[in-house]
Amino acid sequence: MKKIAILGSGNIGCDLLVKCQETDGLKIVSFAGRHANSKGLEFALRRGAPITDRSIEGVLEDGEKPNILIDCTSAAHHQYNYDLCKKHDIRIVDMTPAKLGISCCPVVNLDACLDADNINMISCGGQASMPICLAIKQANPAINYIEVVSTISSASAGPGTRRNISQYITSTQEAIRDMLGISSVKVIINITPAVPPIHMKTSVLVDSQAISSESETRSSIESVASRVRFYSPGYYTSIDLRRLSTKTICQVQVTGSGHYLPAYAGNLDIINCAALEVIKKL
Amino acid sequence: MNPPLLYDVTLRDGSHANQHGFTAEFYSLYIDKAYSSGLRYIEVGHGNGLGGSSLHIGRLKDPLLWDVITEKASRYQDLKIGVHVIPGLATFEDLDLASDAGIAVFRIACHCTEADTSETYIEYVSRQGHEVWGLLMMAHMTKADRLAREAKKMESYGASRIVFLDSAGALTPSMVQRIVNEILSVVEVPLGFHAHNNLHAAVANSLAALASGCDAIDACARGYGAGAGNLSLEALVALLEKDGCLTGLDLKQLIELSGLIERQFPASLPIVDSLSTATGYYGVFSGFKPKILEAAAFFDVDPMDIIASLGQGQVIAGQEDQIIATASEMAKKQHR
Repeated sequence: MKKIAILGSGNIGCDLLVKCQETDGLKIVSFAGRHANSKGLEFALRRGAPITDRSIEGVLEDGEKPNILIDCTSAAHHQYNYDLCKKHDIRIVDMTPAKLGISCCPVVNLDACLDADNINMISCGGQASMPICLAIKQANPAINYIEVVSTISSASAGPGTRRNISQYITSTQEAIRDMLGISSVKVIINITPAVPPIHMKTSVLVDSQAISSESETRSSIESVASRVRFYSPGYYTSIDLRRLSTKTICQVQVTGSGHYLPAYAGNLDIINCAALEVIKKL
Repeated sequence: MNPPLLYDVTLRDGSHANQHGFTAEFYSLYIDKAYSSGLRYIEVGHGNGLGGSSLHIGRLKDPLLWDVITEKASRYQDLKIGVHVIPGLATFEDLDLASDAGIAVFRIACHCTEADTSETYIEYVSRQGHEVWGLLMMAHMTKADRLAREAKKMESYGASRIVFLDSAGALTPSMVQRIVNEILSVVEVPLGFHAHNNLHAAVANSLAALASGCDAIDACARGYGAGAGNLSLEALVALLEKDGCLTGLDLKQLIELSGLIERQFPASLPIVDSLSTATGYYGVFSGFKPKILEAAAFFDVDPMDIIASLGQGQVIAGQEDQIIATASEMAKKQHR
């Protein structure tokens, strides 16, 4: 039995709680927040998880010691949490964009991450776009420019997301560039208030001349997408690879599992599904 | 009426009209003439602002634009060159580059209900000591009291002026009046308005904005901007002067500036056509026009149907990929 602590009682933490509780072989030993009466802590209490309102100190001092801590706080707090976990020999799965550990997207490099003491889950847009970028790169190894445009619903964009847009863009660009070896990457994000809320959409665009065979690229995309569906079941192409004169586009829509957040929040779901996949394999 | 601050967006919004094809040579010529006619606020850059140059929206064709901007900014000490900044396209790194190039005014723009996405950008620019405005785009997509609340947020982050944008040319004069009243009832900073001409209402809406208490107006020479175009700068100045409001600008030179656009860009001069009426009525972003036509031709579907569907789906600026998704879905249904 792996003992899991979840640090941070926002949307990400609550959704991961449900996911972990529904997975065999995982035991939640601590669910930590900062405010005694927060919505997240009340939710966790109702679900029978041991809770603390003293953040990481509560995790380390109050209950059973975890093997794995999932950090759902913020990039600014991550270094502190990481230092304490190292001292106590607890592995960390980092949901913040701090990027102190190895960046992980399960279809790209899961096996290479399993020995690390700190595994970073990049970003929601990174988890949604990286598989398509990988598929395109595999079919067209010489590709040197790729563009990623994600649109998420306003209802799924919390205050952290809204305050970290520039950092989100920069860190997602770096992750795609470094993990896939594509020299130039541009990331764009839209937040739309449309009602009903749209399911997360991520488009990947490349110069048409960079695609040597459309059919091979398309089947590469389908094959990678089907591997993503093993851990994120709502991951489907919504625009098949299409050449429109000088640009070629492909789009995926990510429908969430509806664990804690509604199905439109595919952006939060896919990063959590990816983290769960990592935790299962650790 | 006091003369309004006239903010010239020709070189930025006009970038939509010629698919981001302005040359450095034209920039130089235009800025000289605009300065000479008395304009002191000139916006530059990609149609979607900093970071907008992309496959998704369209690439800037001339990489030398920034050299011209730097040169003009240092030559004309009292000229304020501005940029449009959408968080989600632009990063702090883009803000640094623009700052180094001599940009004096940063207009941080977000969809009208999402002002909190502008917070860190407004703070970042304020810390650099530049003038920073807060822009609410696609203002027709929410109610006036909500716009006022979003404007108030931007003011609290440090914006020294708020501008609301009728990005789809979908507002009427009475709507503009209501919005101005609501916003001015809650913010202390001055208010500006940015019109598009989809329903032939750019002039009427801008006059309504001024009459209701706005003190700044965005306009383009020859109305050269996205879709059906923007407010015509020279027409507004002519109207104001006739009513005895002296703008301090040289109208004759502004008319020449309009003529310069006509001669240089005969193929992309904005007109109010059937498509514009449809985009204005359904409230679809003006800048989408060329992409709607491209997707309609590619997938062999009716552009009017695409417009209606985008309007119904409340698609916002930045979601250019949804034009393709919509047209492709329509094509699939038609061929079933």
